[in-house]
Amino acid sequence: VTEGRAPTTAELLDGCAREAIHIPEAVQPFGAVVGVDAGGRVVLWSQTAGLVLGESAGPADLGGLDLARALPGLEGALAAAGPGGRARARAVVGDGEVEVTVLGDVQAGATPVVLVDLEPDPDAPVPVDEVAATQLALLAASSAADLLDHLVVEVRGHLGFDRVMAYRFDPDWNGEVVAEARRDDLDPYLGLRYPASDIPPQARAMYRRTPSRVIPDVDAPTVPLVHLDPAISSPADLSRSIVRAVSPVHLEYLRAMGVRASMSLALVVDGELWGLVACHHVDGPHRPGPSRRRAAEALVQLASARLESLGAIDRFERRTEAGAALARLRGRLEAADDLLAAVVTSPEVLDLLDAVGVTVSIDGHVGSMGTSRPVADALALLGAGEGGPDGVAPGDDVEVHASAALPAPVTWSGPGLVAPPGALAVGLGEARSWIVWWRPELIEEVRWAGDPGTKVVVDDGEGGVRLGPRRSFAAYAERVTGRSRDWDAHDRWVAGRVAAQVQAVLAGRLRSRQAARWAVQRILDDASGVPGGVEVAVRSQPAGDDPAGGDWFDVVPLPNGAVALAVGDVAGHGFGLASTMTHLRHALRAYLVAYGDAAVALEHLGVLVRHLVPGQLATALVCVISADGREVSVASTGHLPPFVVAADEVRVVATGVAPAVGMRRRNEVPTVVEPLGPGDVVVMVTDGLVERRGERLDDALAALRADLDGVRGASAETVADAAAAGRLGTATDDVTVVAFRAVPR
Amino acid sequence: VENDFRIETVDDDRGRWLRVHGDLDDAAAPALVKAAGDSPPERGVMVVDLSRCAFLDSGGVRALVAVAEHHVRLSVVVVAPTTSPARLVIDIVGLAEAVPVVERAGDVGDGRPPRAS
Repeated sequence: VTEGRAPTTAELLDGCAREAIHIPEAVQPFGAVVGVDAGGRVVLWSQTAGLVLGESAGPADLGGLDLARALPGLEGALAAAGPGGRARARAVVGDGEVEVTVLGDVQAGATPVVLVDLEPDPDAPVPVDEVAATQLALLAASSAADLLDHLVVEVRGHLGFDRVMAYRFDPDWNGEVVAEARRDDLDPYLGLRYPASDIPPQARAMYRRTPSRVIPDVDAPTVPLVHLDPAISSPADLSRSIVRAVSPVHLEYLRAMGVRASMSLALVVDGELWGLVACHHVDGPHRPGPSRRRAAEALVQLASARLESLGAIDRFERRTEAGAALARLRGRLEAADDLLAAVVTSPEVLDLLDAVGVTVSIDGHVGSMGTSRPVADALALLGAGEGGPDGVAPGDDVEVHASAALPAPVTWSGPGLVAPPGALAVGLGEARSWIVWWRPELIEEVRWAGDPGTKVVVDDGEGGVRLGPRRSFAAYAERVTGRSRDWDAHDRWVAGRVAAQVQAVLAGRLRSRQAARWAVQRILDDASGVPGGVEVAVRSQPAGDDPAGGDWFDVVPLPNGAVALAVGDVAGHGFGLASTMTHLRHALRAYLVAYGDAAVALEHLGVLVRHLVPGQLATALVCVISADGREVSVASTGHLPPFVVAADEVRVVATGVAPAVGMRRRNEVPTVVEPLGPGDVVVMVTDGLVERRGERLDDALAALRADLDGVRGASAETVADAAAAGRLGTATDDVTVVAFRAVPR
Repeated sequence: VENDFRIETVDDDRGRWLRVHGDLDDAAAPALVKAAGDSPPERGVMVVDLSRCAFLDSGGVRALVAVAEHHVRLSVVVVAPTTSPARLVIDIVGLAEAVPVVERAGDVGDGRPPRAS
């Protein structure tokens, strides 16, 4: 405690958590501790040792005593324990029996000292048959609740305490009474919760070393240790000793609760402290002897093992159940055209995680289902900026971010009074791809054993202050809001599986799309190369998930020195279109080379479609730029007209009306000849660039024209960029932009 | 003009009237072909009214052409007012060269509005 100012509650709580409870230098009076050197000579003892050993010499004079002679059976126990090991034996001393427990070395130095617990046992060992019958009953329990209900009754039967409870720790180390056996006249504690600070971290750690602790009388004075040579044995680590003196804070806590004697046994599951079996006696001191305690410990250990196997069975069953739903989901996702839509319409996605909503982002495209919070809340949880988490790889070791108590958003307009406070997020292995599940608020009435906020500061009797336990244990009801049901290990596992499935489907699609795009790109790139005298810039993009669309473009040098540039669009979607598209593209270039005329080539293309691919419809636009670059001949079949980006204006070329290819048997296609100034850029686009649901096509064309107006006089590349900028990202159909101009040869 | 695609079908003594609501796109095209071809009248008109159609793409145009070509014994007519979203697309692709396009449903036949038979 800092000089000159009062310590804060936080400092006092910290002090409580740091109290060195393992080296109290004292024991409880119901037994004794002795330390012996390698020669079996006593070098340290508690002042109760003489009484336990029946030595008439008195408590202060055990130095150098040959313990093996005083305590028949010790030699065997020491031999069984081996160096540093532990062992237990019973020895007859005078008229009674003493349980002898070799606790191992307290010193790793040149002079090892072996600590030994000594405790008189008033009882005969509990017959094995008696314990075995109870064990069978515990093994038959089909649930944790059933098991613990049995356990507390049996432990009370063996130990005779007024009250025996099973606590379970929550993830924050608060304990809840989940089973109880008690004297009929005592108030029930079942369902009460005890805050984590009631059992500080070092006390929890102690339970891992000594799975039980007994305090036969909270009012009994402690007995100090005596060291023959304090230099080699002080202070002695008594963590393993059953008679170790208890922290005064803990004794005060027990007294405040009205407890005179207590015992607790650890429930350890999967290597973790799962809970405690806590025993209280209220009317007076109570000490069940070591034999009875051994029997109770055996039951608690068996119950721990049974809890572990019930947990494993439960995990297995939940995973099996989830497996069927995961398989259904996988089928849906693989069959879906639109993966994002499939995720946010599959009921399994919500059911598997017991969620009310889900938000999914795939490559920045966001969809949601049920009651979901805004994307910003999801990103905040993911701990990432705009782009979402990078490099998160789902799988069995998937990175999951979860919270049961996400702060409420400033405003909430969704269904329900409050936004879902529970959120579990998982990445999909790529930037801007993730899933977040939402869980609703679960208002819970928690009954604390006393108001956990009322620890009191007390005088420690040595001129300082420390934190005392709360004085009142009257049930204190707290209404917990702003929290959802907690996300457990199973939820994390399921989220990882869902993420892995979505990712696998995504990866498969990416591979097939890349392969198809590569194939189509090879076909489109197969132009004879752009001839001299023309600068051409192309921007193209297939629709959404389609591997290849119906759009095409072409550059065809003609025998007379002119160059034909074409764009086309076959109606429809899907991979089959790529075949029709390449068919039409090759036919058109053949007609262009054969006839040297855009309109005639398109008329022949119409006949070919009606004859060879009936039912197909395509629009096409052909521009033939003359050898001298001074004019362009334009012919269109149902296609958007081209723009001319001149130095002083942007104009639309009025192409005249000829219907789309495939619409009529005979198609007369007009030709329009447009003069070009030096550096004028001609822009051809497909409808995917400008058609948007909910927007009028003429407005979109006007906006495109305005954008082109901003790049008058620029190169074909710059003009193509101006046309494509901001439009490729929002396109739902294939998009193609071809910009070209004559340049000096 | 609405966004959810659906087709209202009315058969009367003059033929069949199909009023398209929402987006007539590639995905909706089969529904139009089916609505036209489901026990069609033996004679008279087959009117596809696009005045409530919010969006028309080339897939939708292909369906309109398919309807016209399949029902050669009927007078297939498309209704698309000049101000409708579908009309500009219809003009650009030259649909009128394959199917008559009129301004209002009242321009079809005797001018009476369609009425269930």
